[in-house]
Formats: sequence, structure tokens, C-alpha cells
Amino acid sequence: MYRYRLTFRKDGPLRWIGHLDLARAFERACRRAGLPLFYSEGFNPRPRIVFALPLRVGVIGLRELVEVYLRVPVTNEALKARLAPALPEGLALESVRRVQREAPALMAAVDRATYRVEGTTGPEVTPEAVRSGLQAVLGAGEIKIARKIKDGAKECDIRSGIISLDARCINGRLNMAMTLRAGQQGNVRPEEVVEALLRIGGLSGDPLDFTYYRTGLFTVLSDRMVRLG
Amino acid sequence: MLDVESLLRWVEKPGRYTGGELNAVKKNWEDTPVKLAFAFPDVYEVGMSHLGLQILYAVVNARADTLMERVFAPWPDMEALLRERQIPLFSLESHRPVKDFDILAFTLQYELTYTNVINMLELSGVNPLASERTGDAPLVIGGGPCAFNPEPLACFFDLFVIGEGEEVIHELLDAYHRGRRDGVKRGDLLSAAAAIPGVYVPSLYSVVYRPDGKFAAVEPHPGIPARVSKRIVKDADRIPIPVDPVIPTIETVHDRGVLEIFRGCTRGCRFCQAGIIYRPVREQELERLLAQGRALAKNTGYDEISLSSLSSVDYSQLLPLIDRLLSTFRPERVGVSLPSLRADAFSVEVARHLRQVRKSTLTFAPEAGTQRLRDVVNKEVTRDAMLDAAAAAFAAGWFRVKLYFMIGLPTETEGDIDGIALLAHEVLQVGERSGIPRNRLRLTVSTSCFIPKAHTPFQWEPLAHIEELKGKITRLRKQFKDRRVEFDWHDPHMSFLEAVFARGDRRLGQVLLEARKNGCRFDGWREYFSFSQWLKAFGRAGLDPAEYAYRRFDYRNALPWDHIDTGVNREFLVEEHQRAYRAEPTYDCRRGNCEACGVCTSLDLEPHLAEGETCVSL
Repeated sequence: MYRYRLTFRKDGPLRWIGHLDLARAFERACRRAGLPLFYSEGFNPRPRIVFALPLRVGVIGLRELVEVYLRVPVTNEALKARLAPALPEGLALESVRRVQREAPALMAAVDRATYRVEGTTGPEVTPEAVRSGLQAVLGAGEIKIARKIKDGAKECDIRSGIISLDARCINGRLNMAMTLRAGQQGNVRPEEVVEALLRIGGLSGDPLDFTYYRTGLFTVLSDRMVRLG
Repeated sequence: MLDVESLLRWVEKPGRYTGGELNAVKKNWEDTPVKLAFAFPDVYEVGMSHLGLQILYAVVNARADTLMERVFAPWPDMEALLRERQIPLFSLESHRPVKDFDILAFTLQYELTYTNVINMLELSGVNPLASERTGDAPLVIGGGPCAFNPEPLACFFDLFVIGEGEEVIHELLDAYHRGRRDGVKRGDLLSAAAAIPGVYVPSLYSVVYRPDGKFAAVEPHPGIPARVSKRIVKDADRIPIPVDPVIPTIETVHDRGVLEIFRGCTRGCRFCQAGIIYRPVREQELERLLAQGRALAKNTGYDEISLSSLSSVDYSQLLPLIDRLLSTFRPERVGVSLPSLRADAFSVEVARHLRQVRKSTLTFAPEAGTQRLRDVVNKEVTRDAMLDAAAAAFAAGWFRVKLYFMIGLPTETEGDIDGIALLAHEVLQVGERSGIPRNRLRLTVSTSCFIPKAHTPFQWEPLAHIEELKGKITRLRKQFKDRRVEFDWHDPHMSFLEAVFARGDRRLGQVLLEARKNGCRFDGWREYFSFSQWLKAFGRAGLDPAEYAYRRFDYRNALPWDHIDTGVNREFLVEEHQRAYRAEPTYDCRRGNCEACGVCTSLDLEPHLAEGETCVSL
């Protein structure tokens, strides 16, 4: 079993598909590429393809990560040369790197995600209003948001999950950059942060009005953020 | 091009509207003279599971002079957004308004999509009434099984294509392209189209009504053929098998590759419309299927290839096909599946071959609960064969079995209903005796309501009364107390509506318009189906739906679909209908005994089995 870590972009028409559909699209592309996928045992064999962190429908992923396990070793270059042309429009393979089989599991390694958010807002959204909204968010002890779960909503405090946040109003456009806690514990979604900024700052708008980019996935090693991939 | 992107973040499953899938064809708009939009009147996930779409997409886009793009019924959330922002319905490939296409081709698979057809026309800004469309409004054409009784939709369509579309579409596009180049007027174009075999132009046929306002006959205008004969692709080798289908980016209802192994089915179930309209059997040669099946798997990357047809276990070379496909597919764990199984031990043997890769539920369709009723409908399944099949399935390691039945069949009694429960319990007992642990054994019993369909031996039969159908469902529910049995059923109200349109006449067009005004669409979806709105629509149109659904036609009555010719002669249908009442079987002509249904003589061909086996018809 040979393990490869791939970075890819997700945009274009595929920006609008969800995590499970992405997994299916990726799996089919690997088969079209003729990659010798490693399969699980049993009646319903599945290839071992593991994504670092689900990307919400509509969010553009600039440096997403997936690991593919193969039965036979191939060079990084050969893998890239075969898979890249087999990917559908909207998925672009950026890099391929063989990783040690024993390396920590990709999903468990993800601690932080960075996002860029852009959008046009109402006329009352001035640079001063954004600045004071940002100060209010960063100064808040806790920020409660209602997170949709299976049946209904659950109230969560997202403040501790906001590692950094910057927001600027330039020529009527609101641009934000944020580093958020990510992964299996304490994950915060960028639209929740936008919602908090709009609400606390008294700014009009809907989180859905914005375009979201996930710019990177990171692990934390002795208090330092290290880019995965 | 429309700004579709700005709509996507506001809707559920935006992948339904993006286009840009692998193998989607985006031709140069300006350089292609004829533009056709293929419209599927249901949601993307349903439409993209349809093989006919993939075939016609490949066939039409292979023409240099024509482009085909796709459009599906927008889900109500997207519909609301389109209406609110006054954005017209658009195609997936180029995001252009549907109204900008020359031809809008609807596939008609199911009666409860008819309001979606009208709604899609409205959302496109195309007048739903054919008589109101003039000049350069798109030509609205229809095809598919429901076109075999086109009358309820007659006022909305410029023309219908009866039967298989692969060949006639070329003739139609040639005529259209030529006509438009020569500046032929819309009406003359339609008259020219009516001369193409298999093309029905409803405006060139008048409906005659009796003094009481009821249907009397359909009469052609002078010079127009009295009957429109179905088209089929006679030569199996010429039936396209697409190996580069458009691969949906979101999960569809049937998310797999489809290999069509034959067309037609002559088992002769007396309720089955597909069995009549796709006659005769035309099997593909084994070598072609192997080549196409392998190419399909390689090109698509699907993990499952479905061997599709009306009755796949009947394919004469089935085991060699499965074994040889699986031997190539095994390294990449690609599975082979069949849509459903015959209820016999051979089928389970087949399933064992299939399961070398993937495991699933085994599905059988005994259709009726007693031998008498199975003989009535000519479903060649015996209790013993069913139980043998179940025993073989359990012995081979399956724990889950699904059984399909129909209720409301002609001559059905309470004893036949109880027979369904009895047979189901016998299957459970077989499972217990086979040593399947109690908590793992699962049986699903699924019932639908028998609906009399045009062109079948049961076309003269009424639908069972809604209350009677409900009573039968309740009776069955009471008998399925066992937790291991899951019982599901089709809503009799939906079946009622389906029955109305399946045997309806041209007057129903008014009802469809009224139903649309009442907000009806996605009627096949439980969450959107509103029976009360439909009843109001019938009331406003002054028509009684019960008269349509519960009508027993007399052999002397003219039928609203008499001018559509399936090639099967009326005498055969009458004979089959009478044999049903005598519970007499009619055998499959695959075995060489021609029952003289007439299709081979009228279409001038013979049933074709793989490897040169041919049955001789009378």
C-alpha cells in the first residue's frame, strides 16, 4: 500500500458540489486514469481515498488536500501525468507527494484552515463601520451562533475558534481574511464568522452574499501553524 | 448567456444547474445552424439517469449542423428564484435561454410529469399552446413511452415522435434544416414533418366528439396518414451504445454506467406497455457488448455497470457476458448489476456471478400473490420457482430480498391480496430454514397499483376504485406485523391521476392548464402532489376524472390512441385480453412459437437473438 498526498483546486462548476459528490468524482477520475487503487476488503470494496476536510458547497478550494492509496508504487510525476487529464472541469491537480505509510492520518492532522471572503455590501458599510465591527468581534468574550444540525439548531460559541480575523472595506467591497480552528474538534465555518461580523457590527447583508475561498489547511506543531500538503 | 452563477448559492443542490460535466458537449453557438434543447420534465438527478437522453445527446451532437443541450425541470426553490428575478429557464451547457433554441424536445416518461412540461414552457417564455406559437418560437416536440397516447398533451406539442428516436430524429432534423434554409413557414414545415414515418402532428388531426361531448374518433386532415406507425431501429447493430456518456457531478437516482443489452421484451405480461411498444426483441451480439462494456467502464470510471433491458435475465448470452466483463473489471472492483431478476433459481445463479464483486438486495417481481392471478396477467412465475429462488438466494448469502407486486389487477379477489402476504411469509420461512439469523433477515414487499395502459391487452380495463385500492393496502398492512417485513405502497391518488392521463383524450389539455394555474407540478413527488388541486382543475374544465380512470371500454369503442400504431394488431390484444379471463398463458416468442402479435410482419423484421439465433414468425 503506497500513500500519496495530492493538492488540488476546486472551482468552476465543481465548486457547487458537496463533499460526497466530490469524493465520487475523484474516485471515478482515478479509475479513468487507470491508477492501481488500493481497495478495502469485504463485500463492498472501497478505494482508500481520504480527504483532509470537507469543503462546503459553493466554497472555492485553492489548496485542498486528498490522500490516495495505491497497490503499486508510481512516481509522483507519473501519478500527476495520469490523473491530471482525467479530472473533470473544476478540479485541477496542483501537486503530488508520496508520504510515509505511517505518517499521521490526514484528517486528524488538520487543526487550522484559512479563508478569504469577498463581497459587495450595502452603502452604510463604511471603512469605519467595518473597523469597529471587527474590533467588537475580536474583543468579544464569546460569540454565540445557532448552528444547524440534523434536527433543528444548536447554539455554539465560536469566539475561541477564531484564531485571526481581518476585515477591510475597500471601494464598497468587504474583504476578509481569517484563520479558523478546523478539523474534528471545534471546527468553525467561515460563514459563521461573517454572520457574527455583520450582526455584531450592525452591518446589513447576508453571509450567502459573499464568495468564499479556502486558501489553506494547516496542522499545529508546538504552537506553530505548518501548512499541510 | 445568463448569469446563472449568482443564483446558485441560493438553491439546494446547485450542481443540478451548473453543467460542465465530463463529456458534456458545448458547441459553438453561432456556427451551428440548428439548436435543439433536450428537455427532461423532472429534476436533474432523475433525468440524468435516463439512457435515452444519453443516446440522443450522442446521436444529435454527432451531427455537424446541430447542437443539443440539456434542460431539466428546476426544483421549486430554483423555480421561485427564476420567477422572482424574471430569469428565463436556461440550458445547462451554454446557460442560454431555452427560448433561443430552434427545437425543444421533451421526453415523456411518466404521466405525472405533464404539468412540469407546461411549467417548463412557461418558465422559458414559450407559449404552452401550440396553436399560439408562431414565427420563430421553438418547435416543441415530444417522444418517449407516453407519446404512444399523445392526446392529453396534443394541444401543447407541435409534433410527437412515436417509438425509438435514433433514426427518425435525423430525418426530422434534415427536414427542419432544409425547411428553414428555404424559408418554409411553420405550418408547411409541420406538414412536411407529418410525411415522415413515425411523426404525429396533432394539429393535422381533428377529434370528433359525440353529441354528449364524449370522444368519438380522431380523423386526419386530407392527405395526412390515418395512422402513425411507431419507429424502431430494426438492426440491433445500429442501436447506439454510448460509451462516453455525460457523467453527472451530483449523485443521480441510478449512478452507474448503463449497457443496453437488448431492446424489446416478449414475455407478454398483459399489463405491460413497454412489452408492446418496444417489440420485437433485438439482442446485441456478445462481442459488441463486451467491447462497449469495457470501453464504458474505462471511459467513465463508474464502479458499477448495469446490464439494462426490460428483462435482462432473458439475454441469451448472459452468463458469458457477465463472466467475461467481470474478469476485466475485477482488478478495479467494478461491479456488474441487473435492474431486477426473474423469480427463478437461474436468476439467483446469475446473481451469484454478479456478487463476486458487490453485494446488494435481491429483487424479484412475482407481480401477483396467487397462481391464478399470475396466470391472468401472464406472469410466468410459480410459487415453487419463487421459493426455490429465495432458498438459492439465502443459501448464497443474501439476507435481504425485495418482492414487487401489483394490486387492483383485473379479476383480483381478497384471496389474491392475502396471497401476497402468504407468499411473503413463505419467503421468510425459507429464510429461517436456510439458517439466516432472525435479526438479519429482511424482506421488503413493495406494491404498486395496476394502471390500465394504452396499447396493452388490459387497455379496455378500468382502474380499481381508489377506495378499493386503499382497502387492499390496509388489508395487507394488517398482515405485515412482522418486524422483518417492510411494506411500502404507491399512493392510489397518484395512480388515479396516472390512469386518467394514460388513457385520456385531447380534452384533458384544459385540465392540465387548470392544474398549472392551481400550482400543480412535480406531481410524481409526494411532497408536491396535491390531489385536491387536481380535483379543482377537473371541476373547472368540466370533466370528471373518475369517468376516465374507471371507464371500461367496449371492444366496439374507438380508443383515443387508435391512430397510433405499435405494429401489434388489435386482434392479438383482444385475444390476450380474453385469455386473461380464462387464465390461459401465452408463451414468449423467443422460444420459437410465434403468437402472431403482428409486430414482425408490420415492421418487416424478425426477433433477433445474439449469436445468430433467430425466431421465425408466422
